[in-house]
Amino acid sequence: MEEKNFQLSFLGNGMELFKIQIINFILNVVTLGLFYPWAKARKLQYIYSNTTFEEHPFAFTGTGKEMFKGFIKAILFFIAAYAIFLFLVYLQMPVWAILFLYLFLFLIIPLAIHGSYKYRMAKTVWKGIRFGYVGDRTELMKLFLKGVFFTIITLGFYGAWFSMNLRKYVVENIRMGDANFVYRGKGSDFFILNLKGYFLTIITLGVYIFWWQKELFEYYINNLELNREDKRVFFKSKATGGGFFSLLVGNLLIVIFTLGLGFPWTVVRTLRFGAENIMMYGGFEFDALQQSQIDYSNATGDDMADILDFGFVI
Amino acid sequence: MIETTVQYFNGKFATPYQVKMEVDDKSIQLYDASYNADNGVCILLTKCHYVVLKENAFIYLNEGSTEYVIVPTNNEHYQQIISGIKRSQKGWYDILMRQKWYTLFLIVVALIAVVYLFLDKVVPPIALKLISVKQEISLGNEFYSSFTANEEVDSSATFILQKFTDDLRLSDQYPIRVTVVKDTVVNAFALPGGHLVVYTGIIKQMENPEELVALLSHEASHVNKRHSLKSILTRLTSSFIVSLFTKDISGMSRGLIDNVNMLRVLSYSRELETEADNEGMKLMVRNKVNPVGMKFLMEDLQKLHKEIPQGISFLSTHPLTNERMKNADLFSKKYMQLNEPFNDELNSLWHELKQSR
Repeated sequence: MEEKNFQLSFLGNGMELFKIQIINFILNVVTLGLFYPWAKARKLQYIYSNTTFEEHPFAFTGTGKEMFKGFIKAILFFIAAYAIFLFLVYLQMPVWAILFLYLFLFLIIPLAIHGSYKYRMAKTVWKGIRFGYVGDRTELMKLFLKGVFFTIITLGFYGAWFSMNLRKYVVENIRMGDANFVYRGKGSDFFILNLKGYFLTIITLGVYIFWWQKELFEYYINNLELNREDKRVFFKSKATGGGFFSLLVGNLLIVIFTLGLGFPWTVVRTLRFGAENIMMYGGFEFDALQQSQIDYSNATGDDMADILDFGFVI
Repeated sequence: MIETTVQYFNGKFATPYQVKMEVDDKSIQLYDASYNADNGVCILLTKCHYVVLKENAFIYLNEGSTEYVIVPTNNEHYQQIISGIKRSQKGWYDILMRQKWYTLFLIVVALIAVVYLFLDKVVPPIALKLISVKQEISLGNEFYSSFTANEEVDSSATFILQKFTDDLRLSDQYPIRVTVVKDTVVNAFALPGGHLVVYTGIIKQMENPEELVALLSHEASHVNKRHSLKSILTRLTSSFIVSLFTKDISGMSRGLIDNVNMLRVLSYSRELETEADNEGMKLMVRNKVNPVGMKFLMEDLQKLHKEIPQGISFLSTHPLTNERMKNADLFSKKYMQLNEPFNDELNSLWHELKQSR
């Protein structure tokens, strides 16, 4: 099988996204914020459908209704936890209350990651083929608690290993139809990379930060692989430190000079930068992908992740 | 009825199939290449949605977007097919999406204006009606305790001034309770529900007891006319609007506490000030005190203002205008004949107060 290059593109434009944000704003105000899940769906639909792979767009098939239900459940969950916390305080057990709060936070994060990936992947479709996330919730929780524990007792040094283990677990459980991802990043390499980035950034008075970003991006992308049977697609970053410099400084200037109104343009620039700088090649036939992941419509985890305010990052 | 050949993805494999497509007003029909009419799939246009990217329209045939056809923009029936789907989609969102950005921008501006007017002009009067005098008094007490926590209260002067106030009839509805705060600031203000705060700085500036009665009557009128409650509500709703638009939820809860502190520096509108002057002078007349005290008070403060323009907080929170001075003058002229001697007890309390510092 001959090797082939595959192309990812982002075709969206700032004005369209700006319009979506304005409309979302209007409808959010009119509905006193209840429109939020539908607004989120519209935005994601726009971003997905303007991202193409091999000239075919992705589709986000999640709906506002699903995310609204998830949002209500997530809120109830948080309220329940808060009630338990207050009850413990009321019982004059402040130590237990604090312990409960930390335990809750440490458990809710993996729960939210799991739910979020499960929902988002099931709602990601390309060429009619659904993605999927087949990770196990308990295992992710164990991995997470272990990571938090070792990170604390090593005063943060284990963080690099924790981060890579988490990424490996999540990425390797992502499916694209009947194809699966492989992630080969290691804690030790990641640690050295960050150590180097940290010191060089200090020495260069911050200038190196763009090259540090480039190396991080490269490390995430170059260690990624897509497998189906014995066929593989390799990923390679083309991003340069200069590229990151003009992206990040440009975004900052846009936000400053438009008083924040230009935010959609920064989103578009970032997505375009990401798509343009990810190169894929290999002997893989995407046409042969088969529908093999089930649909999953519970958005509770995704909404929890939203409430906790951590971005959706692979 | 339109008939054309398109690429079809069936949601089982990522492989395209050539199919024949028929489109009428309401639906899309797909047939395999052999055009076997029995094997047709029929999809209602209302179930379809599409994306146009570069030279192709991707028309999704189900909600899960797993089945779709590709219609190139150079297909002779492209316009008809797309406008058919467009016509069957009449959602709010789609209508808004078709507007120009400046139309949307105008809608946003209009919306902000409407929300602002609503929260600024409609909500406070309603809230004012809903809050009973009893609730207002207990709210005022809460504000008062949070306020006095950071101030040095002059308790002996407070005792004397409270006695002075008790000898006057300043309010029929609210218990008027005064507090003297040790501070050189030339200021006084009213909290909702009857607490008046007077700084030693302003007492020092006054030359006769009529001025003190004028000050207390003026502040008591702010209480009686619920001015401070009104301004708290207005500020509260405007900080709510800001939090709504900036999505700053914590700002909403912070609002109330901030507003208590705002009262100290809050300036009332001209109308409210004039109303408090007039009501205050009526109270003075009711208490058989010559309303000319109001004019004296204003003159004293203005004189001081000319000497140290930045020194008098009272003037920035109670903007003194020529109109107000003229108004006080006119009012008091009507009562020139009111020449009763100043109440003895009040007079001795006044001297006690002046000496207490």
